[in-house]
Amino acid sequence: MKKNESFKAIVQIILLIGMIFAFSYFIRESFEIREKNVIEQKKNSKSKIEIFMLFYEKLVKSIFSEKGLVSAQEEVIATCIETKDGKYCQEYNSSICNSICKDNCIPLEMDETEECKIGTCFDNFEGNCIISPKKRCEQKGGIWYNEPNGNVNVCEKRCCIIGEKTEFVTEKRCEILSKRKGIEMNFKREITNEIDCWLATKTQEEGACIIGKEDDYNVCKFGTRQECEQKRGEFYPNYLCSNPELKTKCERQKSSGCVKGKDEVYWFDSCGNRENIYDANKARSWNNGMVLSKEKSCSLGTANNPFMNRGTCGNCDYMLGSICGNKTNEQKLDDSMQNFVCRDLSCIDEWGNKREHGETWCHYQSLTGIDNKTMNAMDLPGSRHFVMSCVDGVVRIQPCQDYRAEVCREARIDIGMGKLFSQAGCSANRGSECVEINEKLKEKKADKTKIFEECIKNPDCYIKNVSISKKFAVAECAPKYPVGFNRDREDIESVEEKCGFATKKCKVAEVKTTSGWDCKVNCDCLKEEFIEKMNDMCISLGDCGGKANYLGDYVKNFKVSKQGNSKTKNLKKLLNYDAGKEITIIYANETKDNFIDINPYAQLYAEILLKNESLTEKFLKIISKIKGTSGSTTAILKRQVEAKQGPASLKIAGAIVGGPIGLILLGTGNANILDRFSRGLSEEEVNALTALVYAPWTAPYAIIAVIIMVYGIGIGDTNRVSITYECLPWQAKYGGENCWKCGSDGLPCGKYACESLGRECKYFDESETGIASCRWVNKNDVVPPKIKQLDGVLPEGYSYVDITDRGFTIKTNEEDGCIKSYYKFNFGIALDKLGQCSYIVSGEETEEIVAFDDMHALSGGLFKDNHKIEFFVPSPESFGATLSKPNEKIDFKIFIKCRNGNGYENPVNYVVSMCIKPGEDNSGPIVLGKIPEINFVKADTNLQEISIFVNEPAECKWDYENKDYESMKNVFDCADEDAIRFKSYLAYECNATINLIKNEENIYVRCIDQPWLKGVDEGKRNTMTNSYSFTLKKTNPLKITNIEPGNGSVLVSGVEPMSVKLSLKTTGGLNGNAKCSYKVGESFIRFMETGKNVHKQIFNAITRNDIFGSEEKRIVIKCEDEIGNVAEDVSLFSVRIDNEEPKITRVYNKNNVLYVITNEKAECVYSFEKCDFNYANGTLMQGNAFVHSENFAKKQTRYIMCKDEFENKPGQCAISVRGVNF
Amino acid sequence: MGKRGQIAIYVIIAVIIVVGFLVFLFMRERFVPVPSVEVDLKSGIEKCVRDSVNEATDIMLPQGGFIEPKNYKLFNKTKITYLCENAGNYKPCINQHPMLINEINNEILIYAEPKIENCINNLIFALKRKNYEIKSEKTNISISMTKGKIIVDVEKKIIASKGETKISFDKFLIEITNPAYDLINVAIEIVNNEAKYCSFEYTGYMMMYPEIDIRLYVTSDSVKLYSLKDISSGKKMNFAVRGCVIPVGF
Repeated sequence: MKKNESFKAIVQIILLIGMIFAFSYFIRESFEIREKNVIEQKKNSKSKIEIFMLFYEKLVKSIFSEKGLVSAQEEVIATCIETKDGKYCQEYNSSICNSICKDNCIPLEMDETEECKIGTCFDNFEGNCIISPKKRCEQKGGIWYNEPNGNVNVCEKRCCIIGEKTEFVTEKRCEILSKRKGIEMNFKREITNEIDCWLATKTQEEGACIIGKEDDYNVCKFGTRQECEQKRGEFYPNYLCSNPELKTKCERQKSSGCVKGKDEVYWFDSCGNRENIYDANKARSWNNGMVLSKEKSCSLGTANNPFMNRGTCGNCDYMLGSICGNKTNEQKLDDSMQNFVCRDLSCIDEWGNKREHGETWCHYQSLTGIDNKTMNAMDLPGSRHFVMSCVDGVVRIQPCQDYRAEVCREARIDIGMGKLFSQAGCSANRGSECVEINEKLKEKKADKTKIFEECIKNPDCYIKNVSISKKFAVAECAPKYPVGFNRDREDIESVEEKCGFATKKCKVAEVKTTSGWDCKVNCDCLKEEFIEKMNDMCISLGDCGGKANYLGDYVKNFKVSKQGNSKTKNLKKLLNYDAGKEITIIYANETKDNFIDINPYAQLYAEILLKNESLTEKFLKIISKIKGTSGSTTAILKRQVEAKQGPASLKIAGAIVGGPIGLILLGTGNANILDRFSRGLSEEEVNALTALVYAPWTAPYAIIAVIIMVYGIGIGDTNRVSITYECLPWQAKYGGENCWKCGSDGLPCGKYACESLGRECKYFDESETGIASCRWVNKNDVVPPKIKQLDGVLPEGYSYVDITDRGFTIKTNEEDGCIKSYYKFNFGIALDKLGQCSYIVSGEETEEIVAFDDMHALSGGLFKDNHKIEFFVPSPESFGATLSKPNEKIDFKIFIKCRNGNGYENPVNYVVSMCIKPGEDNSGPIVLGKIPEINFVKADTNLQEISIFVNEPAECKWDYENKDYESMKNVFDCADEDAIRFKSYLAYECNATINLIKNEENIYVRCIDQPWLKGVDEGKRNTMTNSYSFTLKKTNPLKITNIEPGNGSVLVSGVEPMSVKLSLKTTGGLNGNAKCSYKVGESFIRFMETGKNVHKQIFNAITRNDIFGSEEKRIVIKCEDEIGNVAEDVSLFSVRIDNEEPKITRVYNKNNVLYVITNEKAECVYSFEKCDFNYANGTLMQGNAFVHSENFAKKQTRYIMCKDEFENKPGQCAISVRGVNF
Repeated sequence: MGKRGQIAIYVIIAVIIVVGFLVFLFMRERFVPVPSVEVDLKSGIEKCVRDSVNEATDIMLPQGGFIEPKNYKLFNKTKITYLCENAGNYKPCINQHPMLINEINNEILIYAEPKIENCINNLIFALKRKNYEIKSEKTNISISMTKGKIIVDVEKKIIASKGETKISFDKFLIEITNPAYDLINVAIEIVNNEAKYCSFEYTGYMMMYPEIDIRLYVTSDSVKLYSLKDISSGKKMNFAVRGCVIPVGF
């Protein structure tokens, strides 16, 4: 039993004290890895807290590195020293900085400025060290050190004994605190960490202090030796004042009570002196009038029953969950005369479970993490993560950052006897990185295996698979804890784009056989399961798709549409299916066993220590993605523009008939398909046929194929139907009847939670009342938004005409006012209040009677006041115009409805009209760009692979001279594949290897379109009239120069670990710009500051024996520029830690002058009083180098103490010198 | 009782009177009553100082240590000063008041000095009405803080005379029990950690140092509001921190 109790105590002390600044094993794991792999910390040089903090700092800096952020955002940052509203040293975008700043901003990042550089500020009046900007520190009278990590001698903390208390502080602070308390400084240099210092409080020697006599009795005060000395009393260590030997009047154990600053219930003597810990067995407690240690005192309980002896024992322990307090009916001592007891500090959590004092755990407003059955991410819109803690018997709630920008992670540790002890905390949600990883999947030649490896390496991402059939399988990297959608964000359109990752179209092929229509390819897409699975993927991306909010209210935020009609199935039910409803309502109910385990995150920390910079990059790219995503158009209409990549004449197969969505996924076909058809029709070939049909540029082949099928081979018709699942941003239901429920679960109402309860719920923060609230605003608004044209977006030559309340017409300044097809332009509608709009276009069935929910969402269904639309004009053929009537004009209409926040919509469609006439596609292909984009190549490169991206399927050639297409000698290999994404375009890739004969080569490229017409109708093919050209230049080799610390240099520091700033320059290569890394083990870790031609890395924990060697350090550096030039070098230097006080090597008297010689540069002081005098009170000797002198006429004993430049000095005098008169 | 008994009683009484007289003569110095003017003035000034300083801290501490915060977060109509702030995202907060104790000392002084001065003037005025002739010089007030206390040093030469009575003062040292210093030091510790590591593990800290209760509230716009409470006095200090903010929404 006793063993268990001790075990529990040890575990809890480890948890609560030794690692108070984080979760126990999380720190331990990472700490150990740090020790093994990075730098071996000198064990006694820093507190554990500080060591953890150094480690944590690494993470912070890696995640929050400003350099990367800036470069990622491509913004010019300026620093404002003081803003108009009183902020100091803030960075802003240079475009707005001056307007915010009191004076002109400095066009540099904060750390590059003299004024705002972050360093260590030493408060000489208080002895505190504070991390702060330089100017602010000096302005207020502090001493600033250019050391951002506090590795400054004067900031070294040790244990200061102040009375019966201890403080882990700097020497200066100890001196100040002692002085103010009126006691002599007792600075324990040997206690080098906070825990030992804290424990020293518990082990201070105590005893009786006789301070005088009264009526022949000694007057006694119980306390520490230091206190006794302060009272000039006589100290009797370990004696109680009631000890008869002391001959005091004090009678033992007269009362019991609590003592400020102590945990236990104590006996008190009749003089009011504290005695030993309360024990009902008085004799045992009194211990013959001697102090009885806590360990030897009675035991309050056992691990299983921690308060078993509460009635008889007062040995409470705050760390273990009890403290002396007033008795209650339930908690009291057996002796009814006593009014105090060990109070239980444990709590009961929301599940009714007991939680220990000091325990912290996570609470979520919905289930979190991944549903093992469906592999869905379970966090629901509005849900927030909280850290709950049990302190002093009360459960406290601390919210993590809202919108799940932070998640709560928890470690549950088995402390034996079947008990778990939790530690939890909020940390950054890295889920947004998953979106970035997804982006890579869309890049050319994406190595999916590698990308997915990267995905699962991120503890906050997972691979979300959706497999409907062999032919339709999608896998994406999705966040485990999706970040919430903030409807107030400025770049709200980006949300639409992010959800759009899960917008997919499934192409189904049905074939008519002798027994009727039979589905052959992707038949599962006609089942509700398809919608359910697609919705799973959609909701996993974030607040997208059909799911419930955190209180279980389901909202369907996706659209299902079809193109074509199925011959085998009625699709009505499919189109109206409420995917995600059942399952996500379950997610709204949190369970106690659902929590985010800290373990994978702890491993991540370890990885960061080794690969911090690569992480920075990744993270910051995402930031740039989030921040930099533009888009004022709806994703769908934007993609219509992308669809222009195919030749216009073939847009006929683009299904404008099926709505604009039909234009999204225009693909390409395969030139060899015709051969396959001639050999029969296997499933693959049906599939190929399907692909062909959806690849409009191959339509002529398709037509031929169909002819072959029908007339040649004799097999029946095929029917194609596409089912499109459109993933939309999740938005709360209309109105606000549930707004009041925000906070009703006992947790603070947050903005995100409030907004998830209703479209019209408005969040009111704590500024006025201290309690946030959520209210239904515009409750009585039944008026739909008033729609009108959006001015200022039409291109020149276009105008809105015939403007009425019911719509407008867009006309060009051409004679007929019609707009040419294949042209893109912007127009828009403006609302008088925020509204959600939907539309359908001419050609769609029964357009006048389509319900709002069955229309296509405009702006991704987002509530906005201005809906700007980037519109790609469809061809008239799309509406039934035939190619035989090339000049036919079509009246094209877009029917729009908008709803207000309460769900009220315009009863009559708002109509945007335009006249469309055929456009011409007589332009040649356009080369959109190339990869590598940079024109420089490595110094030793002779062959350079180049990929070009063309806006339509084409054949391309290149040459060293500018020639026409036919004359060019070298051919690009253009893939017969679907269009791929290149930047924001759909493009077609062509590859070539270019032989670099000279150091600089001009390359010219020309392409010809419509490759399917090769040898068929060459006259219709369009060739580029101007070449796309670029110049490839070989660079000079990359070189590393100016390495600091330079080879052979010696760095001396008075503290260990010390900070070392490694810096170097790069020249050659790509303008000298490169990314540099240093080697640790077998890994290279990116410098904190790199990417340009100056590279810096601060090592803040260099010791005499670390991963870089013992006192001789060898740091291998590798730099690589963007085009692959590599340079390697080594920084060789040695470190000397001078943490030893100067030694006096010689003392002599010459002509009544005392000379003291030290072994290093130092300053010396002396005192006549005593050996352990305070250095600050000593008299300074002359000389601050090796020789120190003082008049020695007076032969009195001098106590001499010396300190070096690093403030190293002995705890007491180094030597005492007394002169003798001969 | 016989005659002898009576005589004995008289003798005893006489001895008591004589002894009492001698004691009076001997201890006369000690029994001279302190002129009430001195008591009035001392206790008056002490009260002035105590009230002004406590008033200052009662206003300042809930506002982060400043009488009129310039850069603050409004919470429950209270202007809570940002002690550490980074207006941007992702990066750690920047300590806005690195020499906080010094600044707060000055704030207390700025607030309390005119009040103390005014109060002393009122006391002097009251004495003058009691026909005291008062000579006084300029007031010099300095404030320092230490654990559990604020120490106010009032240097002011006052000479009050009335007839033969003449009393002079030149220095008043007043110690006020106030947890401001302890609260501010915890705030400094928190801010230092926030500036360096983006967080402060207050639950663990409270386990080690239970004298100060620490509460953290995170608003929906990612501002951290710390509330520190001195357990024994119940006095509170609030301050705001903004740093390492991840922009909300995806």
